[in-house]
Amino acid sequence: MTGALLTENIFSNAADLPAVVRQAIVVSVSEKTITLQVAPAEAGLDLVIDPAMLAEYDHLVIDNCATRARFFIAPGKSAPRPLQLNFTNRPGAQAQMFLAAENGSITLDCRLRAEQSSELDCFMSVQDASAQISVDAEVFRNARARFFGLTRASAENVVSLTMHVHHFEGMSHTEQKFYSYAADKSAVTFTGKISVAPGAGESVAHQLHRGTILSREARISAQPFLNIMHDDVRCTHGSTVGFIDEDAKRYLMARGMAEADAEKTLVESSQRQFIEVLPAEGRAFFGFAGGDE
Amino acid sequence: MSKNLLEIKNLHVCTKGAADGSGTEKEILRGIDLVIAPGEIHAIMGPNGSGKSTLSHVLSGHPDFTITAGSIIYEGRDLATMPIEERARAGVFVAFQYPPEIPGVNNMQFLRTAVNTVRKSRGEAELSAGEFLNRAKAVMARLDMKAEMIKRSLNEGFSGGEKKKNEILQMAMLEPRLMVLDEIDSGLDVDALEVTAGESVKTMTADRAMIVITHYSRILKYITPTRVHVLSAGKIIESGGIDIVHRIEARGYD
Repeated sequence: MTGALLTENIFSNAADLPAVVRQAIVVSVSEKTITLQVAPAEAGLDLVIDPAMLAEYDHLVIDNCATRARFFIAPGKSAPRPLQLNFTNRPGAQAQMFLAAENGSITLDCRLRAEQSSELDCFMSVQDASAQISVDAEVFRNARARFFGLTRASAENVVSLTMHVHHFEGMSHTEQKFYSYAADKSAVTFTGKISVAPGAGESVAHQLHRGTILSREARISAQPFLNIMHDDVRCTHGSTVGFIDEDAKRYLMARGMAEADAEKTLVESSQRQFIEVLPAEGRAFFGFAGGDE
Repeated sequence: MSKNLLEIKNLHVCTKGAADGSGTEKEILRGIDLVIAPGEIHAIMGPNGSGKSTLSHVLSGHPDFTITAGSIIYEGRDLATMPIEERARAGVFVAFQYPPEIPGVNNMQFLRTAVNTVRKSRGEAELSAGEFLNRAKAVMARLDMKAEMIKRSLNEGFSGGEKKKNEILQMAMLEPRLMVLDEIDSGLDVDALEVTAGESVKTMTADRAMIVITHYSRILKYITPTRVHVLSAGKIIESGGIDIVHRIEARGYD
């Protein structure tokens, strides 16, 4: 396949990509690997990777130098196949990545690299799927990486989400906010590690996980780990697992709302914490209808 | 059917732990009798720990309390067996002493949903967005509430006084038949107390009734009760007119 043909095949939104965007991307494939090289570009790049293409390959490599790039990736959507994603944000690059794991069974291994002074926002949504997702992120000097995740497990889904954020160099900022909901007989495990390397001074790392169990038979477990090898850093982590707030539910019911509606309202309102940080394109990609009131 | 709106007879209430034998809590209400007719305002006064708030919890259907004896009949129906939301739809409104903060639930949307749910169950037409907003704004103006409060998340970041005003806003909009104000005066300054009490009185009609539960007499300067009851150790030990309030004001509960 030629480069142009590859572009047509790899991006679901290829027809909408302006010439300036096409010129910024070099696509190459080998037997098992798709590689995207995104040149320094200031134009907005919205690249939707075709799930059908992902089903054919084991490995997606993205090397980003652009400053307004957004990547939309739904592994396992068209056929279950483990995917390894290597994403590198080159010095000064800025990117947003949207990972959707919906329905079926998904295995995703992400190795992310935020090089000097780059910015990366990574949004993940797991819905009604069994998923094994591990994210290994390496963050370098003055880089900023943020990770937001919403897991909505149901039926007999088993979801395992493992985050490992390494601060290799100082003055780097990371933030993790994950929200898990387990309904029916599902089980969710969140493991969150933060490592700060010796010498990575003035690093700031925050991690938060909120788990809400929606049925007596569902399970959520969360394990935070901090591995701090330098003194001059700010690291926080917080994790809670619980049921729906009974007082809040009773309050809504005391104003006439049926129990099921009150539960739904409370779940949706807490999920809004994830939805609110999403850009509009991310909301559309993850299937959240409508926008703000 | 009785002409009374509410009839409480020989009501005994325990905390859940005491009722199922797993706890050591004592019985909290020990034989309450209370009859309220439409158009009446009843004040229930009493020292801390006398069971005042338990009475409001039981009327609202709080699951932590168990009725071990007696009955609560509202509009001829057994209130004690009605689910929480059914009570609200049937016209019982209990203003919470500590309304919870619910981030992400829009105050206006929630209230409009609640109002229309209750109206529907009464067989009334739903309020359009515009009509709802006009009514809500009028009540909020009387309560001296900032207009932006309706756009915020339900009670989130509200001061104690703002939460109480929001309860009264809900009450005025829901137009309940039986209104229960549980310590609505706590945490309110004099001005807030006056507008809050004033709006509560405005919500009263000849067809509705109100129970004002309070430790202090000051709210009863603005809401004149038809009858006053003194609750002590889970029992009503005295019932009468406004003179009881004056005596408590002068001499306390001893």
